[in-house]
Amino acid sequence: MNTRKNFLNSWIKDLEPQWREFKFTIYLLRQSPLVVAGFIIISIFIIAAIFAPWIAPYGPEERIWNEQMQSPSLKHLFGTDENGGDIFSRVIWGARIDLLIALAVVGSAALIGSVIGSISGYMGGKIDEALMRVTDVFLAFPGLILAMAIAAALGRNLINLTIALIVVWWPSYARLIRGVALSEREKLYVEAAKAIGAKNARIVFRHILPNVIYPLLVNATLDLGSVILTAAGLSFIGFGAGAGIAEWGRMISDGRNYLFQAPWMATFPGLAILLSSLALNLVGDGLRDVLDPRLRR
Amino acid sequence: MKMRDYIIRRLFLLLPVLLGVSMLTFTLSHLVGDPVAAYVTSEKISEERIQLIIKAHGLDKPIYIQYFYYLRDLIRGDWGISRSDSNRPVVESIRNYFPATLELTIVAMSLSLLMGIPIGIISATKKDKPVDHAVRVFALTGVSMPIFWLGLLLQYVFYYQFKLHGLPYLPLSQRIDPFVAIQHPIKQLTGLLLLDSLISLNPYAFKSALEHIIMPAFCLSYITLALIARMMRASMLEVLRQDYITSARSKGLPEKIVIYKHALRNAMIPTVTVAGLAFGGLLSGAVLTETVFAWPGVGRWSTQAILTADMGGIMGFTLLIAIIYVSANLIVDVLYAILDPRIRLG
Repeated sequence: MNTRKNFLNSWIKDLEPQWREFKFTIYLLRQSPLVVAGFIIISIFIIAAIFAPWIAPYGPEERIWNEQMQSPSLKHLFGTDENGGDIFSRVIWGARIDLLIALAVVGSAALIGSVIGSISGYMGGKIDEALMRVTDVFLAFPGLILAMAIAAALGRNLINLTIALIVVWWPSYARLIRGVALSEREKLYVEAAKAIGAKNARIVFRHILPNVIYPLLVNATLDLGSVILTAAGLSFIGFGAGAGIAEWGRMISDGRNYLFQAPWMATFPGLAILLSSLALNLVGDGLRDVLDPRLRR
Repeated sequence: MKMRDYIIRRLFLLLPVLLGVSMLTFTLSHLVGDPVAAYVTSEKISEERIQLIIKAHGLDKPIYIQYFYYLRDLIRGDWGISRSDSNRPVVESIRNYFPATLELTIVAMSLSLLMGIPIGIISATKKDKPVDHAVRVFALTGVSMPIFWLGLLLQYVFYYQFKLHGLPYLPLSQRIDPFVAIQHPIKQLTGLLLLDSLISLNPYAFKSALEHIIMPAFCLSYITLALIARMMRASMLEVLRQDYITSARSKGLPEKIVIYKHALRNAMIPTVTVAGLAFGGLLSGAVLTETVFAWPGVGRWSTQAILTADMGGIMGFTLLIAIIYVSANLIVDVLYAILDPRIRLG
């Protein structure tokens, strides 16, 4: 019992500098009005996505009889579409789909990329060479176009769109993590860890990966924004969401047919894409500035 | 190492990437059921013809042998058939549609460079002034702008609203007014309408083509423009801190010369790289922009191909873009080495 308590205590003590560092990082982030603005905007979107059933006045595919294509009013803040769907509600429900896709894509890509990248960087040699040639091939395409080809081969729906985007996004993470692992591997502390008999797995997870967390965090935040943009773009040209689904890109593509009679149909979902992506970029940029020790203090 | 050796080595390194790319498109086209589909022109095809197709492309052989047949066909210029484009061979479709995309991309890239560089310079020289803040906000929206949406907004304002209020408005879509094209036919030389109409001294067609390209080109350039402005600002600020700028100023050179002659040259280097790398973004953007503006380029062809499950067309387009993209990256690297003698060619 006593030893366990000691262990816990020493663990907390170990983490204290990290905790102070974390508090300092938050303090620095709060100094920048743009980061705070980005954080507030993205929080609003996240809250809207989670609590959509309580916030949205209407259901995502609910049709209001006799109220088709109405311009924005107090009753329908963003107007209604050609089926009498309330755009304001649909934008809120859309946050669920688009944010979820972005999270799923970035989360999976970062996980796959981290595993492959750290193996590649730490092992080096032939394994590294082979894995990097594979990433080369994936990086030889602009993201949207490779995703198009994959989604076309798999079939057009939201799940396949997500899979296609994961396939497109993991190589950049593998590259990032490999770079860090490669430079950390040569450092003295890794040699020291080896000298006292630490196993490879322990070195990778306990010593090398913590160095990766910050660049990973920055990249993931920025990528969430680009995934939202790419997913909506693909949805706009006919991948992903089927007819009637409250997804932002699909809503814009539906609104395009009524651009001159009902411009609000395309305007508001587009604004949601712009704002959510912008907010994530603001936060990501701020994180990068704060977390890069060369740029701070 | 000499420049020539460097270029040769880089070209050599391109080969495994291109092989990998072809493997990827091969896998994808075999993933969707029947690989014969990429070569078949209609549903009502005789069994004999199908056997001929299978024989010609080695589709009865094991999968790894099929890949070599596929590679052989690619090199021979047999990229399959595009069903969405009235059963034309894919290579012919590319020849038809690519000039439109090339023209759009060139104009968009020129717009982003011509506007982005001065905007970046002004922003850097007026650091923390209102102009600078405005530029920074603009640059930030650049990376988050859904350009297909921007395209619709532009259409709504510059076509619909301008027309509604009797102002001179921009055309909604297409490359050229069909009436102008009939009355003043353009001689097809390069396929680039602006260039062709200029060479054949056809002012009516030139005017129409120019009016038609403004909106889609601006829409497509938006992201690159913002990126270039942002990069230019950052690298200009970096360069202006250097000692040689201080010494240029202290010997009494006018500020204009210091900025545009001494600082600009070095500040351009990172900007060129960004512009080259942004080329991939332009190609992706072209798919979206062409869809919005009904621009008859490869991007619109590819979306048509996808909606009609035309695998020949989709994979042909994907291959084409990958080849252009890796070549563009190669050119950027070489340009970079030429521009900056400090980079050792290792």
